[in-house]
Amino acid sequence: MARMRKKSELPSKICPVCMRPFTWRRKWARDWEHVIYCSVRCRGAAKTRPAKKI
Amino acid sequence: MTSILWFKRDLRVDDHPALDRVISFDEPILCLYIVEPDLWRQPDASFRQYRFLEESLRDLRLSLQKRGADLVVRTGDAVAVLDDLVEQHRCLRLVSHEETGNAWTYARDKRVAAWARGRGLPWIEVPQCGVVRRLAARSGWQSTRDRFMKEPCLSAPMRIEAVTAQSAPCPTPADLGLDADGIRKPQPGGRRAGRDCLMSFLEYRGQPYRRAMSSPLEGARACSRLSPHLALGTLSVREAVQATRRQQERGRHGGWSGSLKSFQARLAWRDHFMQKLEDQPDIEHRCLHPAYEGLRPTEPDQARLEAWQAGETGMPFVDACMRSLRATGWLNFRMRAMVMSVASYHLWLDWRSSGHHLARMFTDYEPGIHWSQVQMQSGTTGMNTIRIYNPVKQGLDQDRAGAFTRQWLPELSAVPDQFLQEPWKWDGAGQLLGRRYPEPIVDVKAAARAARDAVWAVRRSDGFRPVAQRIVQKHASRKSPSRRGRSGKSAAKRSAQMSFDF
Repeated sequence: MARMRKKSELPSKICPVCMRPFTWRRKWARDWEHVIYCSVRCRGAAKTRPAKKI
Repeated sequence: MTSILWFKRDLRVDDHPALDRVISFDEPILCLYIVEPDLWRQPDASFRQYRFLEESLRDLRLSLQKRGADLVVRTGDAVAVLDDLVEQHRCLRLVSHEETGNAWTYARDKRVAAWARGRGLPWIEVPQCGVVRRLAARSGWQSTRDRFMKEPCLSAPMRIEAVTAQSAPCPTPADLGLDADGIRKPQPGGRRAGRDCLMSFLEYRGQPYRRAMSSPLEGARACSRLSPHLALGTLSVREAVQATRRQQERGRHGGWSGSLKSFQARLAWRDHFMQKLEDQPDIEHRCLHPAYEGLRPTEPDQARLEAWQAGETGMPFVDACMRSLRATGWLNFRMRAMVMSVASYHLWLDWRSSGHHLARMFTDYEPGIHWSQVQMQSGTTGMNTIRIYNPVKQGLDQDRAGAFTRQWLPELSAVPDQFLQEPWKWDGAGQLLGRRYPEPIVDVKAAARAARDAVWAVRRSDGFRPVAQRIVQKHASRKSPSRRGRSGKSAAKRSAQMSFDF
């Protein structure tokens, strides 16, 4: 059996919308590389905002 | 007949002057990125920077593919790669942005230029920010920059007629000899993440910017966090300037106007500092004012350097900042200045060794800003006033509740709030210091005093002033302090706040 890992050892990233760190979840095991946002809310905030030219 | 578009630190297709130029020739384009192993062996290069680069290249490739093109990635020496491609595809010209990089990229660009001349191949380099190549004199620089920023952003072409060439996958960090460097919470790369950063900053994160930027904890959210994106060009500085301008024109209240204004000033300082390295590439290696050469030992005290790098100096706020930087790749400006100042004054380390460590730790490493700042915070420019940060005071001011310090120094959990920044004054210090947390490796007050005396002795020496005057003439901002503030007290306060500037 896999060794128990402390939660604090899990990988984490910084969400580009809220700039808060978020940590790995088991559900993301398959494609953690492509996880960008910490939450549905932040993903929504990134997408629904008017596509203003920046 | 083809043109090569050489992507460097400009990994986007929007507002990309070099792309705009290459399209005007109306010939198929070969979009190229060269991974140069020798660049990644330099002492300022790191795993975290490469990781951010990889993500940004992935995003760039997608945006090129959407437009019917593709990104050709090659690994090797730039001249060899370019020569090979020019040979194979009968290329007529090379187009890229002007790069203000470190000494290594400067030397490489000189080699590329010599090679291109030898082949009779025109290499067209265009600016992508306010930095001016072959600037004759500093006067008038600001208005040139402002004009550039007012030009409308270039929109990305709908289609790019491209030549495809064999492309190799990016080498892994291990292939390049880059070891994991302690980054635990990386900021995501790529244009999409960059746009999200800019939007969320201008829509809601940035409201307390002016007030919160000095704190490492609040600043992590209230600062723009655009730095790595601007460094690799997933966003252009002009896009950031204009998006901010639009928000300013909306006339928002509740702290926004001051914050947006402060942010614009910092975007301008970015170009201002990079201009210094453009004008004088050796500031990466030599003290701007030569009288400071040899002031500190060239061989740094290894034990001190390592303690500082590891966040084990016994000065809690410094250690918290260094550990946080290692884990996140980012630190707010004021704390960057403080850790550099402590290394140079209190620990009396030569700025070249400590500067390389910080360069590696910064995901957003931008040579022009970095080396100008490293020298400024070490007092070796000869033109800036000497500012020695007191790490205890900074800790008390910028981390009043102690949350940041405690987050990164769990070993101090037993220390009461009032002694958190000076645990050596606490009754229970005997249980802690020298065991789970080091005694301060220097006496904070005495070390600062000794450093101040030594640096001032140089300033007072014969011949110092005339050289300093010449440096001011060449590099200093032409903004006069009186124009920065409105009047009286507020002018003094503002000029103090802005005085990191020239």
